[in-house]
Amino acid sequence: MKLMHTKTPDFVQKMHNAAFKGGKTLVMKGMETVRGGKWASIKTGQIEEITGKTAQEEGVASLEMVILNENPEVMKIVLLKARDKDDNVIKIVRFPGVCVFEPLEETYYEGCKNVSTHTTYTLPTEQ
Amino acid sequence: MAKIKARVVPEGNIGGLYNPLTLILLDADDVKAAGLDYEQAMKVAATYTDGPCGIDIYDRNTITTTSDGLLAECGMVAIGASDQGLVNPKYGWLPMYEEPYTEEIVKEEPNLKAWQMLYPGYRLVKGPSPDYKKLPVHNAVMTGKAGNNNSASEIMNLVTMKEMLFPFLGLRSLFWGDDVRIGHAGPVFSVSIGMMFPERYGRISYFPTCESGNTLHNSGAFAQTLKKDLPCVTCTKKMFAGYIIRHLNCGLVPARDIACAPSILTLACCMGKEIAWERITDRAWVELDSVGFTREYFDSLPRLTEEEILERADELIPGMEDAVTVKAADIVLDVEIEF
Repeated sequence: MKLMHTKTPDFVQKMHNAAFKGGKTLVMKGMETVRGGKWASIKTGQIEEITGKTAQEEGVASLEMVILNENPEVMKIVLLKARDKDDNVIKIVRFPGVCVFEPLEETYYEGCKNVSTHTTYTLPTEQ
Repeated sequence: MAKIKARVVPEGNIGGLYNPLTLILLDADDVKAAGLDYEQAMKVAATYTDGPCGIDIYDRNTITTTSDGLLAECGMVAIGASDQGLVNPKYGWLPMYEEPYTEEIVKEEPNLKAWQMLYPGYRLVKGPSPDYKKLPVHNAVMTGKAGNNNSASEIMNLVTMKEMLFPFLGLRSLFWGDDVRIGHAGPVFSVSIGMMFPERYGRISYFPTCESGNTLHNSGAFAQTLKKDLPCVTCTKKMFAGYIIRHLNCGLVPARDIACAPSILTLACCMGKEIAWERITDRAWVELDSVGFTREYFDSLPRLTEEEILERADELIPGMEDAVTVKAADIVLDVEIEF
């Protein structure tokens, strides 16, 4: 997809940089075990900009960025791989459609009521 | 300020076991009298506590289906979940699907033959409405830490991962003020609730997943382990026996029209009712055999009258061996929530 330009390590670094430019530290949560992947650059840019502006708002001492799955029913596929004595993969059994429930965003609100949504387009699935 | 009545099952110790969510049970008649729609009622109920909640709205003019295919009065018309006083706008609540009565649906879902025989005039409500459901698979509503899954029968805290099962008749018993049995589900129950029947937009399965006579769990000898350690709240065995008896007397055939669950097969044998033995799959037999419900056991069951079955329900209907009987009044709080 033509919008997926941002590598995962770059995404993490950009957010730290955006906060730092605003003079604040950023603690990032939810990316500890993420390896690989490409992020939508439109959203990356928007998040960078808002992070930088929020860092400079009056009263803000530090920032935290939490990244979680929006759809709490995460669909995994499990691959069972069997190897021979030479470590070659000789058999794979696929188990598609393994669902995992994860906590939703409200878990991280910590009682804050000042919650706004930033988006510049509405997905067809939201209409 | 206006108020709405609610019956609350508190989070915490009930019957010696841990319920992970506050459950707020509303009557659709009260919601309507308060001038609220279901979404508004969910948000009002969410203000009751900051802790994680399941919120369910019952309608006494409806029936619904259990996981065995039995029909029961007072279905849920909406399910919800809240946390910190919030209902997630996208995943936090759902209205349930109302199935209109047609000859076609009764042909496709033969358990519904009992509808007009037992409950003429009642509307049938099932699982989440397809117009609103957002999750690809499960019939769950979730907000923050609160997970209200399988149309309000699996209650879980998504952070602590604690869970309690509330099969439909169990939670409805609390709503109605009847006695309940609280204990660990056990291996037989674990096998039993995997024996399902096909329905669309069902409370458990959104699409037909399992023919009557087969097992949804399809886990062989592991089926008895899947849910056995989960705390569980059920109706009394006598109440459950009553439902099975009435449905068998409507001519519903286990393993063809309704599930081949151990309880249903047991009572059908005792009543001398037809069972579609040939439809019970090998995979279902592996699971039934693994908890002692072999063909030999079924063939050994005595012929009993309905009165004898009801008297001996605790012995005949398997499962929940460590359960205690608890009065709803000892658990449920009657509250009024202001809005």
